[in-house]
Amino acid sequence: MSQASFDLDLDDGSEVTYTVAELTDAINGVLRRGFRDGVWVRGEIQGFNERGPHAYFRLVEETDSGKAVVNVQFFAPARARLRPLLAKNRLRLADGLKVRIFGHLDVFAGSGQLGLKMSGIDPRFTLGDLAAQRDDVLRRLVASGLYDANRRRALAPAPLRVGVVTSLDSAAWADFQHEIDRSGLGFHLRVIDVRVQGEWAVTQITAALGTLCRADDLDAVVLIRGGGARSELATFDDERIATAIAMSALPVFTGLGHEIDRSVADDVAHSALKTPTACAAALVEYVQAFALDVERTWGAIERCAERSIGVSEGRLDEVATGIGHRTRAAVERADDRLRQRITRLCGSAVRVADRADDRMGTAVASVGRMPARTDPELRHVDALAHRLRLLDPATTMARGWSITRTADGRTVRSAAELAPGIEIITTFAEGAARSRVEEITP
Amino acid sequence: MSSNDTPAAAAGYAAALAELEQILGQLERPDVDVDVLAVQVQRAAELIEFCRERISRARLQIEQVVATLDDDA
Repeated sequence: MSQASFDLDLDDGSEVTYTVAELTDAINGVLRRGFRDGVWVRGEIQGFNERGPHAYFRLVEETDSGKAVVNVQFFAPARARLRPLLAKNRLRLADGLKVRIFGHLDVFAGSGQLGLKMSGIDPRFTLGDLAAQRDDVLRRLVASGLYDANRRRALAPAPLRVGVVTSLDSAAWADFQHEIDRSGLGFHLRVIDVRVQGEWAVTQITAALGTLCRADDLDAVVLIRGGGARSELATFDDERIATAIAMSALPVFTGLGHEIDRSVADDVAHSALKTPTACAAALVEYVQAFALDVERTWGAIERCAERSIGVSEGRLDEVATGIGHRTRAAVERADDRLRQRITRLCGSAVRVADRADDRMGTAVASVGRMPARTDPELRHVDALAHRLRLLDPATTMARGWSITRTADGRTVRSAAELAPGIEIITTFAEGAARSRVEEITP
Repeated sequence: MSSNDTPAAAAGYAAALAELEQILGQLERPDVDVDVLAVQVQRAAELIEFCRERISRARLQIEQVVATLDDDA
């Protein structure tokens, strides 16, 4: 059995052999010689993170054949040196930002990974890229007819009910609120707190706009944030936010960033103000203008009313004067009539009294004659007494007449009632005689 | 008419006068009973006296009233 032989042709061990560290150094040496003056590379920042004074990120390029990645170290000295340049151009490195950076390639022995030690950046590249993206978005908005859709929305005469999309922790919100409060007007604010930068900013802002812009109890929606890096404000160049503003049923006011910034959101908004404070001031101005208009209108109404009242008062005075004259005349006429009636009444009363007096005199006279009324009565009674005297038997008998009765007391009215021999008693005016019948004469 | 009946018990002057007329009517009839004649005459005399007394009183009262009216006048 023979020992297995190696396919690899091995050297005789005399060739240079690197240790790992030596190899790393050698590679770094090659890299320094090959990219003697450093290298410019462009790509999109991803995985940006800061550890202490240093920052690290990946520079990525999406290609047809896949993703190409270079690790970048941005150490403290370089960061300190580039900070004025970044600030001047108002750029802040963050994920998604496309950059052209300068640095030196280096393999870190500790990880064996190739990295680019960043020492420079080309701001014009980033700004140009942002502008180009912005232009693309604007072109699409114009093409879809959304570009000036929100500007065509009618603003309420007094936009007092306002929805606000902002970060509640920001100075922007504080400034806006201060300006609104300072106005002393009765604004009603409904705020949705959102991230205004970073990876969730677009999603949250778009959602908040969608919510407030559908509210039927608001007059306008405000989107505000304070100044910041231009790269951060690029959030407001995002097509989703621009579309949400354009399609809003309510007018959208923007107050984003500094006075020199203008985002796509500003372009499509109903009213774009330079700052949150200016945004609040614009709303205040609308309401004040409305209030002033109302005051003027009311003043005009007041003047018209005063004129009308003046005219009416004049007429009323005339009528009152007329009424006064007529009333006095009527009262005088009534007074005359009353006097006439009093005169007539006095005359009538006197006449009535006179008549009554006359009647009374007559009555008294009648009464005075009353004693005479007893005379006929007395005469009548006297006549009756006379008749009675004539009928009194005593009177008759005094003239010689007598009454004859039988012994048993019966009055004899006819001779035929008697018979010879019967005893009779004769009564005279004075005394009586008893006798006996001797003969009857028929 | 009982002995207790007096002209004062009559309803008044008019009633007394009516009774008197009635008695006189009876006395003037030809068949008047002689025996009741005296009684009727007596009653009639009382009625006459009653009527005369009433007339005299009325006259006196009237004269007093008229005298009062004259004084008021």
